[in-house]
Amino acid sequence: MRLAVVVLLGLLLAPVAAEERDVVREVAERSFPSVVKLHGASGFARLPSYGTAVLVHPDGIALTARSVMLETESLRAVLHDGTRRKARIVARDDEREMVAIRIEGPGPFPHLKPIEPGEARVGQWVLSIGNAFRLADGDERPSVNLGLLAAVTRLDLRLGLSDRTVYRGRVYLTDANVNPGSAGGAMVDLDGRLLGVLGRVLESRATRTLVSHAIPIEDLAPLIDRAVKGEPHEARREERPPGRHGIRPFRFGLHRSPPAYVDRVDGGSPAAKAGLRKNDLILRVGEVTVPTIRAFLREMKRFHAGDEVVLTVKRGTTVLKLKLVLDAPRKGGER
Amino acid sequence: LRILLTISLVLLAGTARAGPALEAALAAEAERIRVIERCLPAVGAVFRKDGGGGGSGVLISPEGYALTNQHVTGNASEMRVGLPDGRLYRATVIGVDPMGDIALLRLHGERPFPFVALGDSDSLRVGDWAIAMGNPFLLATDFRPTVTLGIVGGVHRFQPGRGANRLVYPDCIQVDTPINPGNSGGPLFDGRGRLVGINGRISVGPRGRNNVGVGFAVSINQIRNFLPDLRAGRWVDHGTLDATVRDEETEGGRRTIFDRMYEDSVAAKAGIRLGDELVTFDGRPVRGANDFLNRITVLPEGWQVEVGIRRVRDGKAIEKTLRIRLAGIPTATETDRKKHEIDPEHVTWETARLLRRNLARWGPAKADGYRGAGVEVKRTGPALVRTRGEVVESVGPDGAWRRRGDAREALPELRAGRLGRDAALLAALASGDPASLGEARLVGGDRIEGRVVDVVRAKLLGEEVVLSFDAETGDLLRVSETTEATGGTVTILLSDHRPVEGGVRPHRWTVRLHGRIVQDDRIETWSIEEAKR
Repeated sequence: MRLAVVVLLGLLLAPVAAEERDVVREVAERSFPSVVKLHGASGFARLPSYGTAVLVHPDGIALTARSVMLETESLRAVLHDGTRRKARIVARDDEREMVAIRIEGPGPFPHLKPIEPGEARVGQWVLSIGNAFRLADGDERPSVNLGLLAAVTRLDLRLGLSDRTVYRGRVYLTDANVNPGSAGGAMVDLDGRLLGVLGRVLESRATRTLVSHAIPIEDLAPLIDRAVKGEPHEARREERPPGRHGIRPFRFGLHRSPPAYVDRVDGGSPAAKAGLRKNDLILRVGEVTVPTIRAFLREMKRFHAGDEVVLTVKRGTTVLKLKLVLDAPRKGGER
Repeated sequence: LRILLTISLVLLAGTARAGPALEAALAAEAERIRVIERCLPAVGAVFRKDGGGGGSGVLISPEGYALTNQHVTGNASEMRVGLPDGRLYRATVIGVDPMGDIALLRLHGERPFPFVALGDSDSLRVGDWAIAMGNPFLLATDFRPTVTLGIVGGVHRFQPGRGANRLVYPDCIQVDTPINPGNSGGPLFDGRGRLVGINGRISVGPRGRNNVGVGFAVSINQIRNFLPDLRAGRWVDHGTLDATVRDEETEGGRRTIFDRMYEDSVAAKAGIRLGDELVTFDGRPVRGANDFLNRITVLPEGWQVEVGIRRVRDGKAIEKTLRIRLAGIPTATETDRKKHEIDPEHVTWETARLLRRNLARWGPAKADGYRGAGVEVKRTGPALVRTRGEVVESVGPDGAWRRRGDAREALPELRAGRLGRDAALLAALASGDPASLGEARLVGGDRIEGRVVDVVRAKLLGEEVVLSFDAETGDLLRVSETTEATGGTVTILLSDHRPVEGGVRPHRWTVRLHGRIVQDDRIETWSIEEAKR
């Protein structure tokens, strides 16, 4: 039944006259030349030494998901006709864990046109195109999965079993599965336009389920811009330190990480202005659950002076939502 | 969800733009439902006799032949198959292809069984609809299959096997259609309900042993190559040159060269040497080592292929095309293999069925003679051999040569001697009477002029002959016999099959002796009247 709904939506968005089968077939066919297979460094635990990148610029600029396998002098991109080309990282977006590479050799390269900002609609058809399980070699075509743009959301995700938190911004979720090797591939609509770049398979910390997601292409525009201009790094984050909140949590031993109880609130600080009190238990920072002091402090570092942060706190038996507007840190900061 | 759909339909119908699109969508949906309803009765739930596990299967003929995975049947000789009619049938494992992960079952029960037609898996393109049916997680206690829908996510994939050349998926179909444990052996249909593959394996990643949107089906075009062998009850092996190739980067691109081979391999015996470039295989250019591996592994042992090679010697390039009969890739030890026995009763049954069908195809028995450019034949009585338009000899159906006139001048003796015999063979076959064939036995498959054939050995007019019938249409394509009289194998190739008098008969016959064409005649007419004249 879900499929029936899907078909309806798909047809409405697709050119009306075309037979439904041909739409997907043609989009895949048109998109293949812009999706390249990557071969990089190997030998890192169970991490694959292969991946995918999507060409976004005629000069050979392609986007891919950050991976250890990219960190090598011998990174190679295999174009749709089987040609092997050298490639190197030219710009990074560490927050989104995305990387721009430049593929050597004469252009112009085929590339995908992005959708207009804000155009993505939950429920629309999407294709994810990537070299899942390294099934394709040489001029063989990467794998294609069809599904829905299931949600546009922010997620509390992690990679594998390590508790390393990742991007907290907006992502596209899809049921067009992403698998090992497809990260860095393309999420396209039925007009063959690029919605986003596929991320790695991530696990939801809340449900332990694995999700397939893409980073919206509009959020990657600055990365493409820097890659084209040859500016490898964004304005250094250190130059823009985290904003001040004024919350002093309880601290026990060095290694223990207890729940985020408030020990003290600095007078006149954003936290004080928001009405935070001693002994409040901080549950969530924005959408992210913070089970420990460490998680709380790490999460707060993402926000800068002027940013708004909604904290969910437990005071006695009630749960409150308090809005803080961070200000500029003072000398010495708060740690 | 049904309510949601209705609501969304109503909402969509309300907007002006949705009108034609909605209609098209509803029509497409209705068509899909029709396709599924048509295919579904032929899809079975396959169980082991002892109840230990199972999978899926699909009926491909009204006699009850069904395909499933070899990893579903294992070493069993009998299975149970539940059909959507709610009944559980006994099924014999007839033939197995352990390397291609295919087993052919024969269901026992009331015929005709519902069945689906074989499609053409090479026509699939990425993005085509792919419908899977089967029994995932063994859900179907009432034997009604689960249906899943997705797209073709990749074509011409190669999936390496396990163990001793088992379960290799060459040139297979990749789908994002949900395939789960229990779907094994079930059918993959294209959007129009044509059987294009048998679902058999999935890629698994961090999500564990269930669908991750990357499933694989054995292509029906590969299975088609093995069907005659399977119907003949055999354990079949896949073909090999006993040589491997690898891709080599060159300045101008890439070339594929032979890098390893056995000294006594069919490749070496045919004259291939290490370092030779593989240029064409089986009539098409080779696009790389993977392409070659894909294309050779879908062929059975014993098939003849043409291999085009290029060798550079003293700065000069030599190109040649070699004809090679493929050796077999062993998938098991002899003792393992003996566990699969050919059931003689089945072979007798299947041979009779094939001959009945194929000979009936020649049309009613009254068509007992024909006239061609060089010969005039009647089923009974002498055949008249003409040269330059004049009757110079007559030959009895026993092949005995009765000399008259200047026949020896007109025809070389050897050719003239065969002509009557060959004409008589044809006439006997054209009678459409299976009884004219003695001790007939289906022995397996082969390929003639790109067509897969059933090979039947039989006695005809006192001699052992080998008959090759097109496996799909039933057309007789070749008759060959080895006789002492001619000191070699005589091959009569029949072609240009066309409808005539309620049947289909060949209109050209070519006789090869010692590899040389000694007779090549067009048959002008098959009518009795013509023959009587």
